Amino acid sequence: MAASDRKIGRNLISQRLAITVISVLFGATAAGWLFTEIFPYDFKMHLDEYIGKWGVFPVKICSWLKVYDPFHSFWYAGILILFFVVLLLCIISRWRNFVLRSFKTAVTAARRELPDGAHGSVIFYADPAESEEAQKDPLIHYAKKHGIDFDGGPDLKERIYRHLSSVMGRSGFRSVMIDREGDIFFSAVRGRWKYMGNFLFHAGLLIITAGGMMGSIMGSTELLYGKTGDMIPLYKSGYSVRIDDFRILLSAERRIDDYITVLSVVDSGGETVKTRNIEVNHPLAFEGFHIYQSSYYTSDEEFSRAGIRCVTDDGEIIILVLSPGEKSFPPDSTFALEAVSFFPDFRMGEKGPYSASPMMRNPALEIRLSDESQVFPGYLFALHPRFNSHFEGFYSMTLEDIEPVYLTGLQISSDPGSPVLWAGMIIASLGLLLLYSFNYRVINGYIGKDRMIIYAAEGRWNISRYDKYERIEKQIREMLPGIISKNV
Amino acid sequence: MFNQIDIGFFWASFWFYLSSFIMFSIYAGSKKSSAGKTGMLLFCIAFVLQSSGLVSRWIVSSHPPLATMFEYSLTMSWIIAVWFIAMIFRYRRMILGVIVSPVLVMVLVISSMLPKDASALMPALQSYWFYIHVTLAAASEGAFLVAAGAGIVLLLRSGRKNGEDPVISVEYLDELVSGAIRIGYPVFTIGALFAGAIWANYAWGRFWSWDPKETGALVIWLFYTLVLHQNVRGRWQGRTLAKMSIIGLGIIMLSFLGNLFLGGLHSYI
Repeated sequence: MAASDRKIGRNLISQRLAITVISVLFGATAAGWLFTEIFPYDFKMHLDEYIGKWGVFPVKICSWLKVYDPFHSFWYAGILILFFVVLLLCIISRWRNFVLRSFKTAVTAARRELPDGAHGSVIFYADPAESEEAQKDPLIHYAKKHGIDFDGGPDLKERIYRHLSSVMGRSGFRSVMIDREGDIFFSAVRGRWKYMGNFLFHAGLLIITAGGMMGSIMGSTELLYGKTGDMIPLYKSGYSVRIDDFRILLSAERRIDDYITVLSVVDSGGETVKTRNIEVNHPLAFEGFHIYQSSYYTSDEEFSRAGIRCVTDDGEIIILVLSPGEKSFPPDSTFALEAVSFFPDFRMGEKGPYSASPMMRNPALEIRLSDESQVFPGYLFALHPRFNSHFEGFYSMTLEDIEPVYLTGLQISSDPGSPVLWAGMIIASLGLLLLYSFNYRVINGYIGKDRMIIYAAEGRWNISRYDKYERIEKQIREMLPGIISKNV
Repeated sequence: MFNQIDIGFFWASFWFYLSSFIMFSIYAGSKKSSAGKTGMLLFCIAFVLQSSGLVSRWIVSSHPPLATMFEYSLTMSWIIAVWFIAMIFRYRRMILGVIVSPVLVMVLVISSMLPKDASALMPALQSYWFYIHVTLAAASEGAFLVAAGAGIVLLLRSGRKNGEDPVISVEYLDELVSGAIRIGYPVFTIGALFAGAIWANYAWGRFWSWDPKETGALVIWLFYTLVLHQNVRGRWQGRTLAKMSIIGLGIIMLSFLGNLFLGGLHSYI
C-alpha cells in the first residue's frame, strides 16, 4: 500500500474526522430543527406565490435543498450516511484493540524515571550515605536491614512486585509485569470492561443507524380512517382488517380517557384469523404489520342520530329523533322534518357552510322542513339553541343532542428495521452501563536496583480519585518499612 | 382548597431555596461555616416542602407529576435537590450549594411562569414508558443544568486574580462540570432517546417522527456527544468545557420551552 493510501486510511478512522462528522451532523440537525419551524409551511403547495414574492432562483434553491422538510432531503441523508460510514470504519479499525483490552492487561510502563507531571512517587530503598553496601546495592542492603528473606537480586525484585500486586489487587487492580534486563516493569489495571462498554455503545449506535435506514427505505406507514364495518387491506399480504367497533371512553369530567377499536384480521377467503381490541399504546401485531390506535375523527356530514326539541305554541315539548335519510312527521303538523347534513365545527365560507375541523366545536345540523307545497331549509346549532330556531308556521326547535359518526384513526406500519433498532438500543444501553459502571485506571511502576517508581498512569485519575491512588501508595509504604520516598 | 395545596408548597419551597442560595453565597464570600449551615438548613426545609408539593400534586392529578411542563420542571428540580443532598452526605462540601441552589431557583422561576393546572392523563401518556422516559429525561437534564451551574462558577472563579484563597478550586469545578455531563449523558441517551423512541413506537407507530421535541433531544444528544469526545481527547477542559456546558444549557432551554411555540406531537405538555 502506498504511503498516501495509508494516510487516507488513517484519516478516515481518525478521531478528528469522527468529531468533524459529529459536528456537521449536529449543525445540520440544529439547522433543520430551525428550518422546519421558521420556513413557511405552505411553501410546497404555493410555489407560484413564493416565486412571485422571492423570485425564481431562491425558490428553486429552497425546493432543491428541501428546506421545508430538511430531514428527508438528500443532503441530510448524505450526512447520515457519512456518519454511518465513519462510525463503521472506527469500529472496524478499533474493535480488536477494544475487545482485547477488555480481557488482557498489557504492561505500558517503559521508563526508569517518573514521567513529567505524573501523580506518583520515586521510592528509594536506602540512603547511599548509610553504608558502602547501601551505595553499591541498595536493595540487598534494604532486605538485609529489614530482615526480608533474601535469595538473590532479581528474585527479591519479583518478591517486592508480588507484594505490590497483592496490595493493588485488594483495591481491584489486576497487575502484570515484564522483566527487562533484570528490572521489573509493571502495570496494574482496573475497570477494563469500560473498553467493552465503549465498543458495545458504538456498535449499538451503528446498528440503530442501520435499523433506521432499513425502516425508511423498506418500511411503510399509513394513517387510515374508517368506521365500523369498513375493511382495510394490509398491503400485498392477502389479509385485511375489519373494524368491528370503535368506542371513545370518557371520564366522569367528560374528558377523553381512551379510545378503543375492535379489529378482526380477515384472510382472502373471508375467514376471521384474529380479533383484538387495540388502544393507544397497545397495538396489534400481525405478519410483520403493526396496527396502532392513532387518533379519531368525526365524520363530516354524517351523523347516526339527532334529537330535536320542539316547543309548540301551547308550550308543549316534543322530542323528535332524526336518523340519516329519514323523514320525521311531528304530531299535529302538516310538515315533515329531515336532516340534510351535519357539520361538527360549523363555519360559513364564501362557498357556503363547511366544517372547520373534525372536532365537535360548533356542531350544527342542516335541516329541511317541507310540506306538499313549500320547503324551508335551515340550520340548528347545539351551542347556540336560540339562533335560527324559529320557523314560520312550525314549532320552535332546538338541537337537543347529536351523535356523530366517529371514524377510528389507524396507523398501519410495516418496519423491517424494527428488530434491528431494538437490538441496537439494547446493545448500546448495555454498552453505556459498562462504560459508566467501570472506571478505567492504570497504575504503572518500575522496580529497579536502587529505587522503585509508582504512579497513576492512563485512565480517569481526576482529583477526587487521586486520594484512592494515595491510599494504595500508603499501603505499599506501610508494607515496606524504612523506605525513603520522594513524593512528586 | 386541597386542589391548590401543591401550588402553596411550590411557592414556599421557592422562597426557601432562594433564601438558601443567599446564605450559600454569603458562605462562599465570607467562608463563615454558620452561613453555610444555615443555607443547608434552609435548603433541607425547601426540599421537604417541595417533596410535599410533589406528593400533593400526585394526589390531586391522580398520576405522577410528569405530564405537564410545570410538573416536569418541578420533578427535574427535585431530582437536582436529591442529588445535592446525596453529594453533601458523601463529600461534606457545602460549597456545592453555591452551584446547585441558583440552578434550582432558575428552574423554579421558569416553572412559576408555566401553566399550573393539573389534569388527567391523555390516552397517549397512559404508558409505563411515559414514566421511564420522562423521569430519566428530567434526571439527565438536571445533571446538565448542574454542569452549567458549575461552569458558570468556574468561569467566575477562573477570572479572579492569582493569590486569592479559593473556597472551591478551579480543578474541582472542572471535574464537577465533566462529572455532571458524564452522569447526564448515559441517562439522557437511554431515557430521553431510547425510551422515548420505544414509547413513540407503541403510541404513534414509529420510533422517530422528526417532531420538534424529538429533534431537539437529538440536537442536545449530538452536542453532548461532541463535548464528551473533545473532553476525552483533552481538548475541551476548564474554561472551554464550562462555556460548552452553558451553551448546552441554552440548547436544553430551547428544546424545553420550544413546544410552547414550535408545536408538534409533544405540544400537549
